[in-house]
Amino acid sequence: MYPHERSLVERLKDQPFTILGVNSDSVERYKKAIKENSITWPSFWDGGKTGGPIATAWAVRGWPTIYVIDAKGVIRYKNTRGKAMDEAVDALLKEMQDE
Amino acid sequence: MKAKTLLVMLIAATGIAVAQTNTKDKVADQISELIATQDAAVAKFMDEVRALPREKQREAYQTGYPDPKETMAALSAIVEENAADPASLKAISWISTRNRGEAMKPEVFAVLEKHHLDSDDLSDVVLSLYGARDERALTFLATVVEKSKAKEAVGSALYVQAMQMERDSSKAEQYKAIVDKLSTDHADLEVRGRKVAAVMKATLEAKEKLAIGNQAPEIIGKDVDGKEMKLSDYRGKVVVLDFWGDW
Repeated sequence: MYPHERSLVERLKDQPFTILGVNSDSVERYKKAIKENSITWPSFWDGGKTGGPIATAWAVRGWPTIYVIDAKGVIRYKNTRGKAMDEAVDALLKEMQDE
Repeated sequence: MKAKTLLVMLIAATGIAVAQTNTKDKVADQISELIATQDAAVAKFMDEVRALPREKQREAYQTGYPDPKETMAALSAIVEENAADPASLKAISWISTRNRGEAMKPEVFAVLEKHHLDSDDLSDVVLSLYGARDERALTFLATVVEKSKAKEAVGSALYVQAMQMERDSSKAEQYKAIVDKLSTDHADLEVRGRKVAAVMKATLEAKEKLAIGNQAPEIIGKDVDGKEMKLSDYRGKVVVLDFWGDW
């Protein structure tokens, strides 16, 4: 997951785009993961466990879970991964340009 | 001589009478004893495992766990002979919660449907079918829902049906109907100490709120250093919201 996300962030660094994480690790583990995997994007910290308040409000039952949200704050894709996720993001960025 | 014969006959007759009134209890006793013996063996084994050093526990658990097969076979034989006896349900229930994913036999379902459909003790068997996907198990669940007079068993069967559909998007409508039914008719149903109807209803509502095309609910939270962040801070950007963990 990380290398793919890193390359997406790198490719779109000049675009109105971000990955926004919601992390369910303990503080130590989270900080270690950020360091070891060069994670540059921001994350909410969800209380150090999988049943945290944000994951609960979003009914997350499996990890990772992905939502792609457009510039207006509308949920547009759920659980797209890999290439499909890139295409979803590109489509939404193009939509912004076209408007 | 005559008196002696009479006495013998009397004793014999009493013996038979006692034996007859006890047949029913005897089935229950036999079943209880088989279960108690195996459960005691497991309890003893678990105590021994816990006494071992931590790193050896897993291996000991995997290699030495008292095999319930013989007990199961003995119980099954009793059930076969005494299908209608209430104690047979106890035996089936015990087997069903210990046979680790092995499918229940069709004839056992038939016994349950024929003799124990209205028993309040049916719930445990129903709940043990959580992972069952074979046709016979599904028919059994449907039969319990439609015909059982035992409320807890009906609620449990609805719960298991719902869990089996939860991740199947083609059954979303059916799933919703069952969750609604559970929340109206079985709000008090507890599974492993949790009132499941309320939890399922809340999850369902959250999911509906989170459907594609809906406005994403606001998230107000903090980063790991305690700095406040909001999802709406990123309005104007395409956001990949990624629930993740490093495990």
